[in-house]
Amino acid sequence: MLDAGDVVGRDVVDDVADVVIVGSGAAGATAARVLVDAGLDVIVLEEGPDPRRHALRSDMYTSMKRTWRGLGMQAAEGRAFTPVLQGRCVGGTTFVNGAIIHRMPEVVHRAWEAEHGLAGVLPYAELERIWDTLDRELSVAPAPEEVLGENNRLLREGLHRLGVTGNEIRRNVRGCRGSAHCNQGCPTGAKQSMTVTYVPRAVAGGARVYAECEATRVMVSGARATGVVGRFASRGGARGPAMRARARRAVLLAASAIQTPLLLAASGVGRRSGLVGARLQAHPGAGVVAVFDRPVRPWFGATQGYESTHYYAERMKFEAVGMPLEFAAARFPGVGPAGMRELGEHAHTAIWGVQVRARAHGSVGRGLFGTRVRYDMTDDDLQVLRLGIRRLCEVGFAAGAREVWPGVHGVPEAIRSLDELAPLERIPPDPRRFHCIMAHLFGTAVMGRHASTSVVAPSFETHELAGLHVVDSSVFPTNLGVNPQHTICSIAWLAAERLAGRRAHAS
Amino acid sequence: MSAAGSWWLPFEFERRWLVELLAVVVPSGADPRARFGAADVPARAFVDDLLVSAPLEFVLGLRGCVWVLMLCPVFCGARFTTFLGLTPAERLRVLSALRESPSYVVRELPLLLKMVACLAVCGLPEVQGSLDLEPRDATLPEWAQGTGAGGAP
Ligand SMILES: Cc1cc2nc3c(=O)[nH]c(=O)nc-3n(C[C@H](O)[C@H](O)[C@H](O)COP(=O)(O)OP(=O)(O)OC[C@H]3O[C@@H](n4cnc5c(N)ncnc54)[C@H](O)[C@@H]3O)c2cc1C
Ligand code: SF4
Repeated sequence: MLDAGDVVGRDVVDDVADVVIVGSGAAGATAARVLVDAGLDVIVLEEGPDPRRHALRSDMYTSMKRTWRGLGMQAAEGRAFTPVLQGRCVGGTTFVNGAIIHRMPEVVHRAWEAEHGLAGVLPYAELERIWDTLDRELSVAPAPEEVLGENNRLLREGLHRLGVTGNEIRRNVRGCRGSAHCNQGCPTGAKQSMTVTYVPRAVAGGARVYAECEATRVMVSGARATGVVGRFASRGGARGPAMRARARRAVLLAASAIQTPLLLAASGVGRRSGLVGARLQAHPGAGVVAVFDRPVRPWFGATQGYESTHYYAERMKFEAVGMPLEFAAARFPGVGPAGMRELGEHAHTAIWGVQVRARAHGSVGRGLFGTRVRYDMTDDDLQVLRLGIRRLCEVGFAAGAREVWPGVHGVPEAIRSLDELAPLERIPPDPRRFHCIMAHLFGTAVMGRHASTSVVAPSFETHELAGLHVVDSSVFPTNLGVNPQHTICSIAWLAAERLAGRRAHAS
Repeated sequence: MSAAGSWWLPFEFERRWLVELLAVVVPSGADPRARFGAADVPARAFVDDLLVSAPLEFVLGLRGCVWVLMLCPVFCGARFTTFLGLTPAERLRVLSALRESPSYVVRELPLLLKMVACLAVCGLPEVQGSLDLEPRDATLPEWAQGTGAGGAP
């Protein structure tokens, strides 16, 4: 693994391999693991740094500066500003994510086959075989009782009292100590992110990973992708060297549903369908705070250890969210002394989120200041969100909360009974009333059979440029309604196996 | 796009305003359990670090926020003074009026400042310790090192 510090003073770094992969997150690292295993020579370009080169700090700001895209300040524009959260480091967003593992729901798979022309393209049995291997290699298991912590337990208790089903979350961790620090990267190395699993495994197998190296364009010769050009980050005021990574067989884009379409557009791909960067889908989510008389100590417990998919058909999912103190404090509604009184309650607060399988479509492109994401939930989505918030408030009281902070403009900041929630029913479906974030992103280079209605063919190769493959969630025709990492890994795995022409060995 | 050494960085007086505003939105001694506020931490060092690390749009947004807040007594209260020229009680009234504003952008302004203040204040080991957080890292964040303040008193 090399980063910008290792290439200071050079003008150009030139390398060649069978396959060049852009991005080392869920999709890119998985593809690298499979291709290296198949005996191919692989280069990975990663824009962010290798977080293992620095000690982890327990302040969120330092983590955001090192490992989050745009310091966590990237936001989608619409009627409201919605933070679009992404990792930007070796391991990608898996380094900062909550370690929740879900398989793609069968109902989504059926819809992709029936309504999006993908019948037989991603056979469910093949995906199940891959999930089984991923489960073993990434140590996936339900969060054990001893590291559940009160934040998760109280969600379980409240749901149970209301007769709503839920479960301990299946997580990719090994020896989790329940430090609730997943969003900062795991201080104990328990979280089996790509940073500590498939990236080192690919490197051990001979892959060259260039960190702090941003891919800027795909190289094209004739009608074929032949590599990637990019540039290393500057160091000590000196501009970083150019990168030229040549690919003998293929270029794989795995830079996420936000950055992959930007690279495609910068490389002139997607003009035929006009769909590059279009049809962005997401799972916008909002949090509810429940305040208890008994101590919750939300800083202990698996960051996200309990969930409910009971209302999946209604397009909502609930999760406990172990937030870093900085985020929790900022999420508490008050400002000034009122905010400090709320912060004083921190040890007694539980935070739970509702995530919506939204129907809205947004877009990604270049704007005046760089990346421009546009996204607005539909009225229908907002009604689902509102109902989800209402239900979480009910769960809070069922679990014994003294008060609940719904976090909706037009509703009292703190409610002590469900009666006080009445204004929620009356507020119009307006995103400016809520505080949502987006962390699951899909659909900006959609897969399909025809060049006029999709960007990527069922072979994962772009319709317009031979040798250029897209293997991340940009190709998903729709969102999933559940956390996407495992589905993203499995689809990248399948794409890599097809490129290599053989199945990967499971370890 | 990083803001390092660029025209869009705030002037010295804007930085001072920002630091003072942070101390209003996250005040010291307001609650016995959460006694540390922005005035107790090296907020200026944090602001300087943030401004060179954050994306350009964020920095511009933060500058806009500071100006609107500072001048809101003139435009909203017809008083010829800045926000910081108001008495503490008046400031609080203005803040809650902003939070209740029908304009989305206006009511988000105090929350943007609060978010910045929370990143600074709540990241310090002594503040985390005062709120009983475990485990925590005893090392000061990089931005607070060498400030001589030792984090929180
Ligand atoms: C806070 C948070 C919590 C989450 N929790 C969960 C969870 O618990 N479970 C779950 O399933 N999902 C979770 N997710 C979502 C999940 O982590 C992502 O959906 C997934 O990692 C996306 O995979 P990816 O490979 O498409 O992109 P990423 O994992 O984001 O990887 C893309 C990589 O490409 C790099 N890159 C981008 N552009 C370039 C370029 N031009 N040149 C070089 N490199 C580039 C990026 O720096 C990044 O490292 C969470 C997301 C967030 C933000
Ligand atoms: S909860 Fe803590 S110990 Fe467990 S995986 Fe997350 S960061 Fe690591």
